[in-house]
Amino acid sequence: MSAALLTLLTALAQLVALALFGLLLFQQLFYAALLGTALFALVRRPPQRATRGLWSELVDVAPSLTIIVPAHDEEATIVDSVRALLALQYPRFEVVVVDDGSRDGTLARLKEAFALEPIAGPLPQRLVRAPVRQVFESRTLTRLTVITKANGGKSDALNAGLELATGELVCSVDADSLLESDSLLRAVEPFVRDETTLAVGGTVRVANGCRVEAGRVVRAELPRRWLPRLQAMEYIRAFVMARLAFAHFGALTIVSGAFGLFRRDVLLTLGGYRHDTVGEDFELVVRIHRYARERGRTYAVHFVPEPVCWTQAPERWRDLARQRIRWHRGALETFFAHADMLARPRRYGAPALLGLGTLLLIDVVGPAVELLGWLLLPLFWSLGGAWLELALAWVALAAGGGIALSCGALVLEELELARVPRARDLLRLALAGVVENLGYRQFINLCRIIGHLQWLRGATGWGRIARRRFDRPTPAETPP
Amino acid sequence: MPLVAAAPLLRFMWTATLLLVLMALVVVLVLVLRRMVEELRAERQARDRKAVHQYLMRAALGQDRGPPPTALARLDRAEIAELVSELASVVRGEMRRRLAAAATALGVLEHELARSRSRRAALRARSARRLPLFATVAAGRVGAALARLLEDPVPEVRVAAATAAVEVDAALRTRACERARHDPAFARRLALRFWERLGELEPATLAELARDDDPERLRLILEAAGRGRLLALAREAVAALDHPYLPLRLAAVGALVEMDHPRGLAALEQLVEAADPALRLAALTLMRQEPRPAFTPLAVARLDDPDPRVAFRARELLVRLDPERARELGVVPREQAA
Repeated sequence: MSAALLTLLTALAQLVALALFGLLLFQQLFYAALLGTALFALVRRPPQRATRGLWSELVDVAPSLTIIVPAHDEEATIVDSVRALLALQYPRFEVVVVDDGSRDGTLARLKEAFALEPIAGPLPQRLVRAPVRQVFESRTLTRLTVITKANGGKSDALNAGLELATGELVCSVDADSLLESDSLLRAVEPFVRDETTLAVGGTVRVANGCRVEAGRVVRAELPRRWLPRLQAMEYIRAFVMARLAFAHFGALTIVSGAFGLFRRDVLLTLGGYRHDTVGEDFELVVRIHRYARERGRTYAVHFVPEPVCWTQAPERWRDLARQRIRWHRGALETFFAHADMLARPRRYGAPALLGLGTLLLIDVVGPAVELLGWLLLPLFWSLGGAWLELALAWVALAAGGGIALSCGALVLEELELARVPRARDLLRLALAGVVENLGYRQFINLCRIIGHLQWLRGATGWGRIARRRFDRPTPAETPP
Repeated sequence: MPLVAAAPLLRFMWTATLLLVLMALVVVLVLVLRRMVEELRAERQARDRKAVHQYLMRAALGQDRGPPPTALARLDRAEIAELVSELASVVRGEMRRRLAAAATALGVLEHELARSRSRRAALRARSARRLPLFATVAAGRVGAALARLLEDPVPEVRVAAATAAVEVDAALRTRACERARHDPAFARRLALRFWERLGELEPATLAELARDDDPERLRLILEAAGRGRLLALAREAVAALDHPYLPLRLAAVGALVEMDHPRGLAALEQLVEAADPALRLAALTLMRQEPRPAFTPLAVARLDDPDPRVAFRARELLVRLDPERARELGVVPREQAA
């Protein structure tokens, strides 16, 4: 090989390495901008009221609401979850639980706990694909309806609930999640203040380690196990930083399926949740943006950080991998279903440019770039000289930048929301923010890449994630 | 070579990033220390709040409250205002007047008046809701502040000010009504409490305002009238039964049913027999909101409705209204009923 060719190849290799570094730099700067925006948005909002004041203000004007709880093999948690939902502080609401073809005792537990009585005859199912088997009314509680149907996936279950919902608003809540008692009141506020509001998302936090009694978090605690604790830090970054910032620009494209509120009439107009995606929550919000913008309608999709929904985070690496692969597949399905919005930024504005654009750069390109960088790192290191500078800059930016962002999100959380239980928990979370850059983040990126490959292969299905009762701590969480 | 050229920049970047990480960790440590101090102070703050709460309670009851507790100096004005607001929602009459006097002496009125000029709309609206408490001790200043807030550029603040003004005196109430007559903000659900309070205090004025052309405003007024069971507005509700705007017609039916007006049930009967399934469904949804025994025949009549949604709602309503009848009619499957 001639010296000139070698020089050319080296120069090319360096350019590629610098391009990879440039993408990483862009990603970290983008996150830093989100952090700044979130700080601005949090500082500008008025101080939050106590629940009592909020109740007296909203009790007369709060719109009626239906909580839809899709449940599939949730016998461990379903009764606690429904009890907690029925005890929420909200003036006018009903709960519709949809048993989506559970093979365990989900329905039996519900029947036993709530004295359910079946209603005979044909059932409406315009939006539903898998047959609805039976609808039950509770003999003791007028606000509870239970639907049992053949398994059709989460979207189908949500659509079955939507079909029977009567509230002006619908709230989707995962069966393995717990809402704080005032979360509906807080989440509904934007609908009351701003009549153009079509959807509102709240904060989701990790419930592992919390003390739960009668289906309610009575003492917030950090998970004792490292894996859920790392996710706790990750959730803080995602909700306190990213979603708040996106909502500030009117570009919030994800309202978590674990806890989101929507106008029922809009959902019905849109034909409910789509069946052909595992990212139905993301897809629905993108479709809401699309629908409103195509009609030139003034609208808003808000994010409110105060209402908290507690969810069980996977405690095993295998379960976490399944969850993240599915999330990524769902994101890609949504992105490619609505990719045309990116081509018409004038029409679709911030949701297309920021929402979908970010997905492309950060979630599709980002993981591959970052993982490739880490894989090439030993090579850069061994080459020495300027390559070593690149290697050091890479580690500093990827890991150090991640730590700085986590710390920044934690600062926002503490100054504006202060929901971390104790001082020592703040310290533990900061430590998690450091540790997550040493393996966890790379693992999540690997899951995304696998999700990408699965999407290319046309994989479907949800995968099974182990759940346990909220009030039954795992051995690692049992105090000594 | 491009990398050699970029080397100084790369060096700067990794050193700068490491410095940034160090700074971020220091900030977090400072926050941890701050939280530790707060945790140590939390118990004392709770005691302070309790002491001030007791002091205000004694003031409201007219008991000898002694010298102000030292806790007052440690709590900031906003916290005291919050405590006053909590107490104000549970005391009435003379107790309310005494609470207002004590709170004014503690500077809470000044705090609320200052907040009524805040740049944040939510704080102005909150101040508007709290100001009526002080009308007995500083009517002029409260009236002036509410009159100013009635002209606020933000709809939420205007509605809050009008709702508060209704409580204060007749002159302010008239002013609020004038504003409500023309302001589109009062056709929004946010204004429902205003219409309800106006209906409780001056049903005749509400009836007069109900002769309005804006169907959205009228719908809210009728909803308020229904909730308050204000028979004074029955005539307006009956007139609205023929209105072309469907939500208004439904609100009129709902209001008449809540008033126990004979035309309410008749209108419901008419609605469940309508040719349009959406109307039949709306009627059944209306009945489901507050089921009454009188609705049973209406539910039975629609058990075999050709529209499955209507038939389902009728069956569901019957199970709620009369489970025995539902079993007899086979709405609950036999094996289950047994």
